[in-house]
Amino acid sequence: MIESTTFTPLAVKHNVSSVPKVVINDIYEFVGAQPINVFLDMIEKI
Amino acid sequence: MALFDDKVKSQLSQLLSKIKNPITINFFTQGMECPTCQTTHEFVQEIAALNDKISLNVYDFVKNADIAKEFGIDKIPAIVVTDAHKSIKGVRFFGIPAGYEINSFIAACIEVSGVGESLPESILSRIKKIAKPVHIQVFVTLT
Repeated sequence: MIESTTFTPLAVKHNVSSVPKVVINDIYEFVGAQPINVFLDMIEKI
Repeated sequence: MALFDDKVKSQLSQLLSKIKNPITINFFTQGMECPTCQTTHEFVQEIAALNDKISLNVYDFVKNADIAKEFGIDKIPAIVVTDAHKSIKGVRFFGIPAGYEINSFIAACIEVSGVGESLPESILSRIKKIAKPVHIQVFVTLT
């Protein structure tokens, strides 16, 4: 968990505008709660 | 001034009673604490006081740089919850897990204590096949 207001530069780097925003290995990203298979679909692309 | 009033304390105590095995809250701050570090410090102290199975370790991000590195801490305030064997499960909280995020924090404490929900076999087999390092960052706000 990263609190966006405390770490603004990092949040800006990842274009956080809506939360929760998930960023995987600085490449893949999505917004909102997603089922675990969505995480795995992205992880398997790494 | 306390962060949690008696009513909230009792609600949190009740949730934390689900903790099975002892856990440690590892908190990273620094000598001259930033305002958020101060509040987060109070937060972990108040949480740790609510349950005998929770112990608290406070580390200085600068003086304990080796420990910070071991825990994967590159910014503060940061919290890592570990189990009785001090094994790092990979869940880190950067910034205060207040507001709605207290739910994720409490859930992490309970899970690390050994009350894990098991995953379906189809998901487990996919996780086992992961061969490359994975870094998941979840950005939240406290509203």
